[in-house]
Amino acid sequence: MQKAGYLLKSMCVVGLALSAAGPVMADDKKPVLRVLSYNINGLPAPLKKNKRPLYERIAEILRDRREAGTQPHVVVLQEAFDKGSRIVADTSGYSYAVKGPGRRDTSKAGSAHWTQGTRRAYAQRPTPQKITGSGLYILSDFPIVDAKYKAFDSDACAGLDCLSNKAIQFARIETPFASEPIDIVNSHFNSRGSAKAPGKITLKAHKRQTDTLAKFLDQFRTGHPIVIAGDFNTKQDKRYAYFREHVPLVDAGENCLGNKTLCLVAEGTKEDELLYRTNDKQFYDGNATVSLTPIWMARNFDELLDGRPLSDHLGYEVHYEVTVRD
Amino acid sequence: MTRAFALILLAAFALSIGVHANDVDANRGGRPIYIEADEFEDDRKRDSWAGQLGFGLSAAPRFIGADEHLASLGFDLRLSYKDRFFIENNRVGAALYRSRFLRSGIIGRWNLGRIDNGNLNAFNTIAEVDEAFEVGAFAATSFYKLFLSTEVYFGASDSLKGASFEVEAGYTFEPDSEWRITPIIGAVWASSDYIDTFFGVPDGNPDFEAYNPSAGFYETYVELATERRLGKNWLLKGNFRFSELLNDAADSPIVQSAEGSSGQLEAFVGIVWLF
Repeated sequence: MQKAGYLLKSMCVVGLALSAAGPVMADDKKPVLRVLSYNINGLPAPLKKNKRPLYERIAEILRDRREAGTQPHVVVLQEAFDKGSRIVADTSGYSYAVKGPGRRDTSKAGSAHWTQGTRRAYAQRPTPQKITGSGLYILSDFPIVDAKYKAFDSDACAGLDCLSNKAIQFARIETPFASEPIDIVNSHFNSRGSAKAPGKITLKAHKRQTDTLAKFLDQFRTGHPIVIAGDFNTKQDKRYAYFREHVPLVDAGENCLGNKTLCLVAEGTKEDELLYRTNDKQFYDGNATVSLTPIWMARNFDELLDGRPLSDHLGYEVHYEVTVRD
Repeated sequence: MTRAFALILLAAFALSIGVHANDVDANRGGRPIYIEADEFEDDRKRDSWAGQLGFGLSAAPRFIGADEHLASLGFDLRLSYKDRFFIENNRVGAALYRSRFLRSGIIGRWNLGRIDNGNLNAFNTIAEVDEAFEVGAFAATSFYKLFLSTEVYFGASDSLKGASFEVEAGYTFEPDSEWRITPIIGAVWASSDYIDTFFGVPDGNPDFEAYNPSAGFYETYVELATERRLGKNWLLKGNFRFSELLNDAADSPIVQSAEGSSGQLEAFVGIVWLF
């Protein structure tokens, strides 16, 4: 009894020591994959100016969390269009990164697109004219063993969103939590009001992007657990319904808020901003041997820097407990 | 012994739970290793050839400056090869320079001249202008749905001399995903030789006083081009263009006569097959 008591006391001491250096949100003993999706609003100048301090602060927060051992293992960024926004990817301490397609990377002309309707044949372009790249990054603490992308075809965009080479990013990472890799997908879907196009057109483009995601998930997925995170612009009911119908994964927000005994919501996070009043989302799925379970969620990065928000979006962070079944 | 056993267990425990913490460098700095991503292979292949062929009704002045307009069966043929070589109705060309914002190259145009003076007695004394081939260059730029294009032509035959220069700009609206409307404005400048060919009157004409027009902008136009997608390979297409002759062209005795008009209308409505 004395031995057992000593052992228990010793384990408690070590556990406390580790928790001070490790994650404060989740139980450190559990294998937990922490994934952050963050639209950093990195529009290029002159649309946005003097953004560098904001990017530096975002990177600083991620570094501080790294020092505390609570950093997200995987960060997926959207709207990192501005060259300066690369600070976030380069200085936040991640070991591996994949950048989404640039403006020159292939984006195919769709079956119907405005570039084909220009007046003169010689003014038509074999590929759509893009002004910026995809603005996507996947950052990872763990090795990325495979990475692919699919730029949306030109008929899968509407309005001003067509100016950027919007895409889907796929990365396969090897984590210490399971013997098999975990797939990470990042994307930024067509906006509604910001696109400055009629609602019917933006909805159609969004559906086509959903179709594209569903199609290429079929190609990329080989049965590994998967997390899809990004700015899916699914706040509109019709968009969300179509997305869920065609991308049969679990909504992390729905699962977490439906199992509050297993999943904690960070203080200050509004539940509806995890569910449907948000364009930032995460979806996931496990397989027969590895399951993912959201155990903590937050809308973070809500501080102001000199009175300015860091972005026009909040971070959307989910901690997934990784359970391996024998 | 008890203490040693506990420490061994403690070490094993710490190692087992420390796996996750140790795989991440808490103090890591510097740039990450950037992994190159491959593009997904898509099953959509782009053909080298692309084109469209339209049939329908067209309307146009009997000749430039005429008041009488004729309706006839119209065709609309556009063909391109590797987005470099193109045929567009009476024009043929090649894009030699292609960048993100500019395309330019050589172009040729089959000018229909004025071979149909009609039965207008007043013009029987005005010589026909034979069909002729013109050579020139083009440059075009576009930004989003806004485009600007220019073409310059030089007459390469005895029947049509001089140079002409066209500039036009337009913007494509998409009321819905299957309907496009493109308003266009444009203007045409020509040298004195070119304008004289169509609007001048030589000395000794029994019906008109001699007239030698000068170089300048001689035409402006507004056009509405619209396309309604009927299916994957089919369009309903309409073009409606109103031109106003200007300056020395508008003052030409031909245009000022009872059979002439400075207002010109051209239109095409038809079904277009995309291939």
